Amino acid sequence: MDDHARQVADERRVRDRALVAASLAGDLDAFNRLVELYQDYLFALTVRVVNDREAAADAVQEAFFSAYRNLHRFHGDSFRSWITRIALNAATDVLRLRKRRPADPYPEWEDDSWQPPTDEAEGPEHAAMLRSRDRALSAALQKITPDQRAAILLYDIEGYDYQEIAQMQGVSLGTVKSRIHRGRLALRDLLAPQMDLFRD
Amino acid sequence: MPRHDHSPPGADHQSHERLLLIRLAADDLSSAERPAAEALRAGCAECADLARDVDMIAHATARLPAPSRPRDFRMSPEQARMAHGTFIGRILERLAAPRLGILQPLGAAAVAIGFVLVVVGLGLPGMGGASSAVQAPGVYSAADPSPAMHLTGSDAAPAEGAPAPTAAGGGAAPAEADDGDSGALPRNSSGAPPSWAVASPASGPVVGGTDSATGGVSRNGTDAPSTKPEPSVVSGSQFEPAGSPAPPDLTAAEALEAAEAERGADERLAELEAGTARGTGLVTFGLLLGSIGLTLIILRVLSQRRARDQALR
Repeated sequence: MDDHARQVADERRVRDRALVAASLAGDLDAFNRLVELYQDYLFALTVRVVNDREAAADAVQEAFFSAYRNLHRFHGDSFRSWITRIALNAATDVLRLRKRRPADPYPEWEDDSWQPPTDEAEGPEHAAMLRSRDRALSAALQKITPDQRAAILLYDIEGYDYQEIAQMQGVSLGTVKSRIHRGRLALRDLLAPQMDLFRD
Repeated sequence: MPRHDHSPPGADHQSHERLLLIRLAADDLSSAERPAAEALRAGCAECADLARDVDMIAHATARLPAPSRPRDFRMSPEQARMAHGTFIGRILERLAAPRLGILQPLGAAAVAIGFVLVVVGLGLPGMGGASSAVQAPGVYSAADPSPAMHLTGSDAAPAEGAPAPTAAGGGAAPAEADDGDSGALPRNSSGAPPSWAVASPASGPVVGGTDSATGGVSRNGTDAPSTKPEPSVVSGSQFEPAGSPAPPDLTAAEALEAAEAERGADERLAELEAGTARGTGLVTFGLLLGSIGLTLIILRVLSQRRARDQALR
């Protein structure tokens, strides 16, 4: 992490701690400011973990409720990490519930409507190829284990390091590395027939 | 040049450590492992493809489009109130605080002390405990034929000159532990305990009461027909067997002895009553303390269970 990124992270922590303190003092607007800051990020992460928009929305809502109820227990360094952990736990509960009642396992596979439009500047063929790649990747991500999936998403998309992910998932550093490496290998095996989509 | 035919990898590649290449791509190798991984990548086309593919997948994952959220997750004041729960919920939440961890051992101690108090209270004289079975001086049991009077059965009156108006054995004496009467002793109108006894054939002077076995009243060794079935009433050192003729005059020594015996019985009775009061108090306090302790433990356990938020695991 370079100095600028570190400075930005520090400023974010200071801001978050001030908002948490104000929330604890009864300022609901301060808490809602935290919600505004993290709701997009949390939903994007959660929907990739559970692959169901409604379930992901419920998980995020539950995560914010839990955070609000237990705000006095937040003594950590980073509110972002704390709320991410809560959201991942809520998402895990959703997955567990779905495993018990597997009515519609992967409803999002056939639904592109939730994805934002891709950049059409490079032509419709390229845009279509990117959509196919993203769909193939999303489908492959849903076939690896939830723990591997969450670790890869946190590492590749959210940019957390191994140690932060270990803290969020409540496991050892070695376990996180193993999950990421084995998950990558599983993804590659799943996507081997479609690797042309990735060579642009 | 990357492979595009996706033909099965060669036999050599099957034996290669693929995770080593993944770790190489993630730059997660020790200096000792790195040469072996790089040698694999340089010497095996499939291994080189694998390392490159993994890298491309990682980049594609990072560029996955962020799905837009379907709704706003900000909380309304109503939702905020609901999130904090009900009044009872808030009390339970406070009870679950780590600083109140002392409540559980405190409750356990209260339960233990309460139990001890109940046991001690029940053991006091007059509470049916063992100490109540200790006989006062001058009190005889039915098994002991030596005293001048045997008190058995359910109806008996104190004998003139007998040491003390009490009962033992299977009688319904107030001090009996097994009669279930742990309360204050019943007293007659003059304050003396109604102690009834049935005369034993082997006894000396037996007075008052009705003998359910013989149906008569024995007095000074002579049987008298029972004219009234109800028990005799003893008042002070005198007794008035219902339906019996008035007692003959006592000698001064006998009267003195009877008075002393009666006094001893009164003292014993007062002791028993005081013990009963103390015992009742201890039992009540013990039960109260135990209940409070038990309530504390239950509330603490309930609050801890409730506070265990699954999302914070």
